[in-house]
Amino acid sequence: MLTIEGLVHAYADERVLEGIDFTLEPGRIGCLLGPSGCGKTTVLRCVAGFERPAAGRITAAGRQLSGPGLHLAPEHRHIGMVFQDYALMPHLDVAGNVAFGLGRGSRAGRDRHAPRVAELLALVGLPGLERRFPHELSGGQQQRVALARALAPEPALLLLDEPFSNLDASLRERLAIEVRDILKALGTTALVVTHDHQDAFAVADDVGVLNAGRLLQWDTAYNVYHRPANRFVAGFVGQGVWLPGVVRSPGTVETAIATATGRMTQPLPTGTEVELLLRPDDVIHDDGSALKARVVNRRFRGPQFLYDLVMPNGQRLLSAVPSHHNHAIGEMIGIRIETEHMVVFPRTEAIGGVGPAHAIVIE
Amino acid sequence: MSAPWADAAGTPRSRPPVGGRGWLLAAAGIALITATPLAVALMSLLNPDREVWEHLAQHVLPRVLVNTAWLVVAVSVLTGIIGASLAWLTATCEFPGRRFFNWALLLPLAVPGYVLAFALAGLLEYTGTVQTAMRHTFGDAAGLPDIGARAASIATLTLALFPYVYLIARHAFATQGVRALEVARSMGMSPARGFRRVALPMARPWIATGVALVAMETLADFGTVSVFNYDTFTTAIYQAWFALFSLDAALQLASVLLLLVALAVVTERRFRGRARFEAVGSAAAGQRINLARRPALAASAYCSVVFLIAFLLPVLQLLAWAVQTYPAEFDPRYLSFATRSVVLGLSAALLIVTLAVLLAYAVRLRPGASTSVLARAATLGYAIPGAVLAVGFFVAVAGMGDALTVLARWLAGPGAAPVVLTGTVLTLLLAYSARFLAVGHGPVESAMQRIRPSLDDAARGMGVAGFSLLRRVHLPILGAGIATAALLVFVDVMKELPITLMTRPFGWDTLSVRVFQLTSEGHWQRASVPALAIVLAGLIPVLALNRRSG
Repeated sequence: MLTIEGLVHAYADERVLEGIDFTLEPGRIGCLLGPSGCGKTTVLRCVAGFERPAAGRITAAGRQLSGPGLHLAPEHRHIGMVFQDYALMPHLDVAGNVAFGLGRGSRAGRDRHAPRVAELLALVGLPGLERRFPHELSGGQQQRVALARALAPEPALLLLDEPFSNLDASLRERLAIEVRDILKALGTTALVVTHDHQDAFAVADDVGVLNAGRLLQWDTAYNVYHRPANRFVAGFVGQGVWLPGVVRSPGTVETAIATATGRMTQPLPTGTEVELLLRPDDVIHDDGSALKARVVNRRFRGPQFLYDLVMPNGQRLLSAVPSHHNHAIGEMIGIRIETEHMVVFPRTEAIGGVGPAHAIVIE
Repeated sequence: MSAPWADAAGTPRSRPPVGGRGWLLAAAGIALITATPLAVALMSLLNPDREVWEHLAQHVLPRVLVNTAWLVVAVSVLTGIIGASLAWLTATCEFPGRRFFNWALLLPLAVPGYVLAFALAGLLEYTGTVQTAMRHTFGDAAGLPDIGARAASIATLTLALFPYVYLIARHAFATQGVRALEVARSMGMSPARGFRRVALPMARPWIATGVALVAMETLADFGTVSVFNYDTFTTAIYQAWFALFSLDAALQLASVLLLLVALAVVTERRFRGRARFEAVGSAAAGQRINLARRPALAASAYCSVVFLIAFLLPVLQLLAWAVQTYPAEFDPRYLSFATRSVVLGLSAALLIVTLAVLLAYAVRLRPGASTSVLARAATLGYAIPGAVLAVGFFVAVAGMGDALTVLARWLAGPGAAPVVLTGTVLTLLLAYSARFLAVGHGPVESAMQRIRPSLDDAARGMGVAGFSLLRRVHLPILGAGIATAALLVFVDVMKELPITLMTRPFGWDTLSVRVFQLTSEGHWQRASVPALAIVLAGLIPVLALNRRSG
């Protein structure tokens, strides 16, 4: 559906994208995830046609949009886009905005498109708001109008630029799931850009992690979390602690605090010195365990406590524990290590000076 | 990685310019209009004619400098006090009539100084309405003291110009809200002390801006001081040019006046200091200080007196005169005065709005230091007095004519007729453009701000580009700004006096010129008819302004 090959982009002399490649299959929702300034929005703007790539090829629905000597203008691409600031026309009411891409803006067209507008507003959960103006709507409502407007011309591909960044936390997740349901119901292929991994997991089938203009991994959301391609990806999509260890046999890593078993993300020969990622859900609270750790800090997360733990040897750990296990700071609690997916990287890849008592906590 | 073009959310912020070099040239061309009279004045300042200069230094400058200094300082201080105090009362206090005065105190904006001057003089002079009534009631000895030309000019300009300070300061007090005062009260300050320690210092940058506007208008004033025969730079320029027929002397005086304007601009920057235009909290409306009975009555009385003297009584006086003189005074000539005023206003509005739209697009399509500097230079003309612009453009246009004559003789032989541009509307329109471009640019620019770049992208993504984008997105959003700009320019040109008077084509008398001619001959009653027409036109934007800010 959407194929990007060797995409390179530069502003003036500075290269922002250094050869991006990925393919998004029809009907799937892809998401580009990365920190500010990593180039993810630039990829989106290249696909939409607002930026002209320095090199590479962009193909959508079997039609080449950009390539050597070719740059189709945005107005000829038939690609929908939802903007970060929604970009609703302030001089048009909701109906006028939704119908904007349908006709030539004439009065007759307005009546002709009324049924389609009503249908779209019902789809995004705003029935009957045709006569409101953008400034009379809440942020969440504006977002939905922007989505309806982008869907109106039935685009082959829909692009969403940081669609949830202007909404408050309580609304984000709900709207992310709603948007996913709408896109899935219509079978629309979509590419979303966000800096928040929770947004990405809530909305996307496929996730690509970008950093400094490079696409580090393009895979299913599940694999990006459980089988990260490198330490940056592992760190960006969730919390955890890196633990130094040694591979004792395929599927077994011995560390200073315990021996972990599970499926390793990459096959490494016995004896390799590695870094093992322990996510908060890999460290299980178990009063019966002989392994004890002291609580040094804790954060209440509603259903869970996130405990900051320190082992007798000084090793720090993070543990997510159901919140009815209420332990005070300073208390010793029993834990056990349960690593079904063992995220390991050879220690040569380590970033920073990592010693046995000096692990890096990523949050 | 933090890229300079990306903001926190990673959206490209300043993209490479999309417009061609033509936009830069257009902006430069528009800035050149304002630069022309400045360059002419500067050249005359650097190459003074010794004879002319000695004459001026001996006979004109000392008196004119003292007079102008008195006028500017006194009017600035008085408008500052009156404007800020009225603004504070109507914005943060509650007293009988507050809602009425809130907007009524803007009405004096509709009455130009030269109209207010002769209306007040007619009311208050020895044979005027008030003194005649006093003698009737109290006997022949009763009357008002003669306050002299200086005090009369100061009083009139104060009453005509205080609304600038009032309008800006009212906005400041209303937006800083009661919140700031509540902070002061929570720290144990009385309301009066809170006003002095918190509200006033916070509003200072706004008040300073208002007073600076007043100072520039005072330096630029020609009509008011003419009525009272009070000699300032502007009247001296007029005298030198049209009584002594010395364009050189007029130009010298204009360049010195320009130095004073520059001084006023610099002073305002210094006085405003590093204070920033920021509101504390949101404007919490409704929560006003309820004044006790006596202070409330005093506040009502204060507002009433200012409103009566600055607007109601003068306008009633004009109406009374107009009713008396209308049958004798009104004749077909008035139709042509009015037509010329309207034609000039409309053509200036069309020209200036076009320039303002071009300038706004130049800044939008070629963002960067060069276009924004050019835009600021182009809108500098509001600070330059009309008399200076008149002289500067007259000299520049005469130079253009001479150059064209040389060209024509070179092409067609020495017999070719000389090209004379000075008596055409060209000078007039150029000078109007320089003076009022800022007035037209403001509303257009702020409308342009509403067209965020993402709107263009959104439209293009839906297949709407080129002319269709202009018609369906840009024009509807710019429309209101363009209309406002055209209205403001139109009315300002209707009221304008020195530029029109000094550079109009021969015989092109407008309403404002007619008022000047009649008042300079002392025919105040007869001047009331054209003056009322100007006041009526002036009321339109003031009422529109009220409706929006109300």
